Amino acid sequence: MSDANISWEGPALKLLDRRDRFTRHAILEDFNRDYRHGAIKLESDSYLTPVSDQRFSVIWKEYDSGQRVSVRAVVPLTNVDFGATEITDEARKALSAYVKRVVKSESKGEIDL
Amino acid sequence: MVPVPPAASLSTAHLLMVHGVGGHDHLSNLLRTYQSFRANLTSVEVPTEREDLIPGWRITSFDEGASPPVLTLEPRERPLPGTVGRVCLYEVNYSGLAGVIRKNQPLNLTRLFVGLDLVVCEARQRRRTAATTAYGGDNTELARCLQRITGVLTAGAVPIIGLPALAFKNHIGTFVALFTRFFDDVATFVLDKNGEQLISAHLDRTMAIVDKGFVPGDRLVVAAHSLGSVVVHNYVVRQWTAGKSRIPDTVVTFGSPIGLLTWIWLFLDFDDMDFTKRISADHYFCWNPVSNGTAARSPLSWINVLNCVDPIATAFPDEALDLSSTQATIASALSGGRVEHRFFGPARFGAVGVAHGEYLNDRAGFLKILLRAIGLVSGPPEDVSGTRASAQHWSATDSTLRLTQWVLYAGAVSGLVGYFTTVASVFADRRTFLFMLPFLSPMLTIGTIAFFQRLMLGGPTKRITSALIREMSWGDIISFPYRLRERMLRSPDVDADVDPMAPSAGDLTRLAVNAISFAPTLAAMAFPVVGMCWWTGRWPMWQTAASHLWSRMTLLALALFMIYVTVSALHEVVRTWRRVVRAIA
Repeated sequence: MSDANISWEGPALKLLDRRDRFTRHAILEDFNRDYRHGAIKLESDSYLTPVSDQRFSVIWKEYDSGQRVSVRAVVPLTNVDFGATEITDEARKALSAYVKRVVKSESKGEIDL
Repeated sequence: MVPVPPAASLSTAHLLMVHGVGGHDHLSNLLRTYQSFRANLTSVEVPTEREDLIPGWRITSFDEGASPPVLTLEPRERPLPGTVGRVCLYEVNYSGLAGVIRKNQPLNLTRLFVGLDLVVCEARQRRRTAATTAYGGDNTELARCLQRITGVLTAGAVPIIGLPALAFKNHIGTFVALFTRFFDDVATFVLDKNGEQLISAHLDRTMAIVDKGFVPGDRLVVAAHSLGSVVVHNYVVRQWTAGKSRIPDTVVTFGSPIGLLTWIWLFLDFDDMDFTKRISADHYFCWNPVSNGTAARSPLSWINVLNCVDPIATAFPDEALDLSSTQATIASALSGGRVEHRFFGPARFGAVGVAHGEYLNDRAGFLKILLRAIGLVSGPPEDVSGTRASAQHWSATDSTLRLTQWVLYAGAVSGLVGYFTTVASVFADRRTFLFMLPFLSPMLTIGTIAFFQRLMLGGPTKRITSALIREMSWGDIISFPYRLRERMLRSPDVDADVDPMAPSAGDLTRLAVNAISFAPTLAAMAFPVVGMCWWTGRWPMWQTAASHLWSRMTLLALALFMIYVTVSALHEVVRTWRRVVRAIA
């Protein structure tokens, strides 16, 4: 389990609640165990962590130098190479734009990263 | 249907599924693949979202009436540029075609098995300067194993498709149909030129239709199971240098007998197993997959997946991909310079007999490779590592088969004990069990039945002439009954060779032949009965014997003895399988 204080924002919880109980459990278990495992940095303090065998991605922000983590969304992404060791700035920008688009669509416009 | 090109900078991956032997309904192959992406098909409960391996993808179209049927998947949101924006799934379904071919010209499986046994015997004795190894295995040992398997098939035909099967057809009909269809399909593609050409033409046409929907940047992935992998292999060899048809970017074979069949092909149809020395006489195999063009080979990625204790699956060497080319030429066209083999599947007793059909249920192994190959999941498919390495795979196979062999031995002995208990109950004398001793060796039982099958049915075939039989050795236990039969039936006035234009025997003759070939088994069954009559001096009256013969107890005894023979045959298959594993490991 991680030491950081993890909290889920309301709209993120709504996205989580759309999933069945097995999926919710898998997402929470994976994320709570190690939210940094396989994480990709999207912006300065915003990250994406693949969970549940990379079927879903949790988008989160960290505050207070990593003492506090706030989950913004959880969505299924496609075509993201989670195995890439390095990511260029250009690829990061494209990924960030893609994630924003998916999150906005999945949350029916409620979440605007 | 021609798919509409996706948005610029996104590619389309086309997945063509090719099935193996047996009956496959229209759409069954396509939908089974799709469902396995979305659900755990081994569960009897309705699936939940958790089972979905590709939650970010949705169906955008499904044309089940198209030829071939096509199902299209797209991401819910437009994905990253330069990635897969659409996946089209198709199926090649030649099952109905193969069934019709065999319905029009039914094969007699017993003749097929005896003919194969004969041709293996001939090939075994033909090789004068024997190649000691091919594909890294000891050829002499592998040839012995092949001969043993053909002997088991020959003997196994007695209880499974012979006279006793008629008595129990209501109970074993499904199994017999499966058994028959399996060998029918193999014979249709490997031995029957008409079947091979029709199935190949069917695949060529399907490939051409799929190709019409291609735009630059699209990728073709072909996933082929079992005999389907041989059909695809044949296509790749024919087209790789022809430069006329699309070659897949990735081929994923699973449960593939390519290694097994190419080895047997080399063994039967080539002197010294040398591809440059094809025997000019009658060939056993109808196909001749050789490259016949000059075009440069397009790069091809080939992943071969094997489950532990899958008797059909082989880790074939790269040179088997095209025997008419050099290994270096093949390697230069393969991505990564070689065929990637991945070993999966549980190494346990329960997997024996089912491993060949479990690939699409392997969500952590095979499906992961397939999903990556078509871009439904990110990452190179080659990066998915197997459960175990090659050496561990064969070692695990051997140890699992050792247990299986013992279980089968116990099963055979149980059937035997059941039979002798039935006989002993008639005589009310436990000494009956002493007659059980010669039956305790499955090898002896199956060997004896096979011997008599060879003696009674092992005449010349369309592929083996009387002259070839006469060249066989008298000193070989396998060829001895063939020689003996040929000597007994030889007549200077009659041309003993098969007339290919003559009709085969009718149903009544076949029934009579079945009855005759059942006689040795009947004699074995009668052995303890006659022995006890002789020992006790109590010979039954004719009427008493007749009433016993037409009783439920006789039917029970027949069933128990057939179980014994069938399980003994399976025991011999597993014992030989272990020898093969040790010869190639």
